[in-house]
Amino acid sequence: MVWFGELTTPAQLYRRGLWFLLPAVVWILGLLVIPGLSLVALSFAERGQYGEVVWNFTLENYARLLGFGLFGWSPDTVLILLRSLWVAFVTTLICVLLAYPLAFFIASRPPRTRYLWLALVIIPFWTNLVIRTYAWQMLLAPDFPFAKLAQTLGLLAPDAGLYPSPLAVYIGMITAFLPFVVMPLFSSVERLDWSLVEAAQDLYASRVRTFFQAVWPQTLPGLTVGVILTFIPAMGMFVVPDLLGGAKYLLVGNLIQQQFYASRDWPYGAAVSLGLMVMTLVGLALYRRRGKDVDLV
Amino acid sequence: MTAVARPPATGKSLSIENVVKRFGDFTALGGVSLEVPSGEFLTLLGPSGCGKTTLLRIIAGLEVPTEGRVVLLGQDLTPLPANRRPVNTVFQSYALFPHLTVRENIAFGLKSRRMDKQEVERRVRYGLEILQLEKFAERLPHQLSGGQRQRVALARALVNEPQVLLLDEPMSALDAKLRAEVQVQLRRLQQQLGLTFILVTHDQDEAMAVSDRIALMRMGHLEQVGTPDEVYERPRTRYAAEFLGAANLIKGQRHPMGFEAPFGKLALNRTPPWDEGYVAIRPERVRLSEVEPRQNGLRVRVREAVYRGAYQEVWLEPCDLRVRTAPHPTLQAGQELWAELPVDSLVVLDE
Amino acid sequence: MRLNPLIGITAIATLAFLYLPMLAVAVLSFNKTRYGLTWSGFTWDWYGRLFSNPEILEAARNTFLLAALSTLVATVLGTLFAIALERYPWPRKSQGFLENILYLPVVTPDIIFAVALVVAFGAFRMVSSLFEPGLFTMILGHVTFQIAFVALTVRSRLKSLGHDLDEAARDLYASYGYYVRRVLLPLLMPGIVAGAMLAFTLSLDDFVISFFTAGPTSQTLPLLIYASVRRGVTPEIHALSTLIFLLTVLLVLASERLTRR
Ligand SMILES: Nc1ncnc2c1ncn2[C@@H]1O[C@H](COP(=O)(O)OP(=O)(O)O)[C@@H](O)[C@H]1O
Ligand SMILES: [Mg+2]
Repeated sequence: MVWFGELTTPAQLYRRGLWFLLPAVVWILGLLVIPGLSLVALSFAERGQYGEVVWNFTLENYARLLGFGLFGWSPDTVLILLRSLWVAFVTTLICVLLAYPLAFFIASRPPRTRYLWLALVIIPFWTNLVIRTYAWQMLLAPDFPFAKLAQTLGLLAPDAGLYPSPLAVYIGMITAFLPFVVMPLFSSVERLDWSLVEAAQDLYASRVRTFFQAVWPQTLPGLTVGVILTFIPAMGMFVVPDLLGGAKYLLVGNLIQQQFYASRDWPYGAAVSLGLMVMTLVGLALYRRRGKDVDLV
Repeated sequence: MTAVARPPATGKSLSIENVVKRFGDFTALGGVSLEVPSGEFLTLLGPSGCGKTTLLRIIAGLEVPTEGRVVLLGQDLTPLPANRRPVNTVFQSYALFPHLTVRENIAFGLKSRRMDKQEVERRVRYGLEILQLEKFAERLPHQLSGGQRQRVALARALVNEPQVLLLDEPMSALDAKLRAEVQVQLRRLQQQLGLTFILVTHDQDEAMAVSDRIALMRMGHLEQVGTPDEVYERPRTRYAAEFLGAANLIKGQRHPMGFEAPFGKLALNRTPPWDEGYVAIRPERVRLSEVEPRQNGLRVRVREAVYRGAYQEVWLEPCDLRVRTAPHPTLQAGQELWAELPVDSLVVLDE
Repeated sequence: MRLNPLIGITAIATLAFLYLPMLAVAVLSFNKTRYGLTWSGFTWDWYGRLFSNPEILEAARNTFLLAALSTLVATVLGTLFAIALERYPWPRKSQGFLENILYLPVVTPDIIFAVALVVAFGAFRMVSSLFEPGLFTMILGHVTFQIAFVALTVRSRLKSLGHDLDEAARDLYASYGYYVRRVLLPLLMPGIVAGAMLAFTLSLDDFVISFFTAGPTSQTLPLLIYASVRRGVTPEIHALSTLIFLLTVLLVLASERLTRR
């Protein structure tokens, strides 16, 4: 057969293609798939007295994940799982609400400056998240104007800061994820068919209905990508709750980190990780069903 | 390469022997055989989807035939990859390398064969010259107009002095005026260089204008091969008669003395090979007159006469003929007159 | 298109919100006081101290070494992978499997990725001491997630190239090697460079995987900043963060320019 202008046979192509293929595939299998499988194996093992791994098959780690501990059922871990879902959900929602105006604003700039505006959205996102997060620690500190204002208004105790708090976590999360929604949404908005929007304006007159009848369906592909790119990593986020949430507002990410560091309980940490992976895959599957043409990059 | 013409066309150069191409269940070419003498300008003509590009790609080595072979000057090309065939292609999309300048594009085929520098230089200069591209030599393809790109594609192929140059609808992206100009240039270039050209087109005017011979294709088969006037004046099938210009098709039965149509008997200069079938006549071959002609005369009435400037188009009843004559001021709808279908102009179709 | 002014105001406010943290850090990096957030005068001091702080210089060196080496490996592997996916007629099923392999690193939350590596390196250590936490393990981790992003970038470029140019090159007597050198690589180069830039910035940007795979001698800038946040931030860290920010701005603009070509 002729393949890209070359006279060849499938067997020849496979032989050469394997040289291109194998390095990356072996690498990913060896450093992602096999580690992932060992994580699964580990989640069925026991923690020894000094934090070592004891290879006895047990389901105890999963029982603990669902809240069944030494002293009967407690809602603590379930609460952390649900809280992670909730925080991811609220973060995604707020990001979407902020991303629409931003995407429309950028798309309405003249072509010459449009990509400059888009770059403005991307730039902070390439700055290390640790830096952006500690910056919020300072901005929300007790003697910074924001906290002072809240103190004067009586919303906050004198000398208290706005962090650690759930509010601080949300602010940090939005800082982290907003560009993930804006970029794919922008590419949808840029291709919007405005004649449909105008027709809708004639038909419905109301802005809200125009939006939902003519704009929203057209931006759905970009929105879907943005939602996936936000929701999934938001569930596993660890830096933001660690620096802004404090001990009382733990998310799954912190729980996992604790098991691998402070508590040295790797098997339980592995079980929690797999719990998170399952939530991730369920989330992905739900979205795959909605839009077949979801392109992640 | 010099502009001196090559020896005149002698003997056969390219022969396509019973080429079949299947894509899965679909047969794109169902046994095509064709001989192309060297120095000939051959056109593959046919509607879109009839397999022209596929045949061209098989000659170029960009597709492998399912059966059959392609032989060039006695050498079987079939096992050779595209890069070892002395054949070059002008692609429909031109396929210019976007990262190379016009000069580098033209030099590509020479450099890839490691030709020595001076020779490359000389041929590139020649290629730029014959296609009037000197001014654009250092430009990138995206800085050129459609017509200029096409000339680059042509130069890039020609400087290799291929035994056969293949052109896949090279004019389809040009506007009508430019197209007519380029057709003339192309023909002149081919005669000047004495190369074998195989052009693919679905445009019958283009085929008529440039070719030595036309190979008319239909659904993966060659329908008729011949010089433009043969194919035009003596179409062998209904398909050929209808594809090249307008033709009047007359259905009828064979008769001892010729042919019997619903509106009368006609003499033919050949006995039809069938009992019932078609004969064809070109509209400009029908003669109109006030007096009864000696042979093949029909009494007709003008249904409609349309003045078209250079000629007049007339529809006749009851035989439903379309006629093209010199403008005739007195001709009017309803008028009765004689139409002559000259024996020499009546073509018996094979099917 | 005419926009409601409210949309413009919201958009600008959102952008300001994104830049507020960086602005605060940049301003404080010029502040004279060592402690507290009150402004007490302009100084370049902290930048000067930055360059004489051996810990920070060591971390900077590690960061760039990590980013450069992992990018180099990932660019080669990712480009090869993209070519394999796009230019070879794999049977449908294998192709599906390969696509999944490609997307796996993209959809795996980084913390799971990180702990899986911790576990695997723990096991590999029993075989070789190479897998002691350190720069080497970090490179392994970074390359693993970079490959996918390089491959996706290069692949979209390959897709847009199509068949025509390959066939034209062959028609013009190019051997496979000549075609790769003169046509495929030059045309692919913007995609490869963009993919490498993306991989480089991803490496600089990463915290979680570095955090879990780093060893005592392989401190990088994000880890250093994180550690100092726990200890209490100094203005040197502000200065460092500001420099990192400026550097990423340059990188993003450069890669933007390259991909626009
Ligand atoms: N690679 C291919 N796979 C399947 N079918 C093809 C392929 N190439 C061409 N065909 C089919 O073969 C027929 C002839 O195609 P082509 O030679 O391109 O026609 P033309 O150039 O005359 O318009 C078309 O019906 C087309 O769909
Ligand atoms: Mg065609």
